Amino acid sequence: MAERYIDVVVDDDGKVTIEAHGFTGGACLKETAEIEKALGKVTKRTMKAESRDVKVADKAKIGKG
Amino acid sequence: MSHFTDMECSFLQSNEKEMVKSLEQVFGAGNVEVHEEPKALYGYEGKNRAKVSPKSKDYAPECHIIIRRDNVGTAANDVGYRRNEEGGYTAYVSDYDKGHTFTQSKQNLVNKEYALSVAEKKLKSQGYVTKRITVDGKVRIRGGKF
Repeated sequence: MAERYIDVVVDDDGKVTIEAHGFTGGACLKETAEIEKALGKVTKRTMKAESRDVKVADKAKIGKG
Repeated sequence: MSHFTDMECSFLQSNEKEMVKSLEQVFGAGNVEVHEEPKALYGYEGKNRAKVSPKSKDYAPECHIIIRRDNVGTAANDVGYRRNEEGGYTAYVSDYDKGHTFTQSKQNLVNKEYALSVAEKKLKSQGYVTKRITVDGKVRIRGGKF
């Protein structure tokens, strides 16, 4: 299993990005929800490529069953 | 599943301690007043800004978080933040101070420290171990469960 961690990145302009790594299913959204609530307003969310990989793997598993 | 989320950061009353700490990073420890009942802001000439016409650019209501003008800079006005009903703050920074003493770059410094402190607090409350990493001028709080 990939290592799970959360990075909160702040640049010199005060721009904040939250990165969730290594989570499966919807766990990453649950894990970052409280941090997002505490910081302000979400302006953009991008799901990472590995999330699509999970879906492909799930489909393959379903096909075999 | 993993993701990237961009945030528009704003001061919240639930993070007032972190807000004061971040303001102290710019204005100095002990130079940020916190009042349960709002107090007047004063202009560079010593005028109570709550008593000038609300239509004047010098007007500001009484505020809960105040940095007095002597700590803001030369010829500065008091800077204030008033708690609002939405759980946040309304900032009162004069046009002069935005251009000379409490510029956008200084405000960014405050916002940066605030976001980092709040992120650290929330990650720790969720059982994460945190560390600060600086790469290419960007500060990163990493929270992991090791």
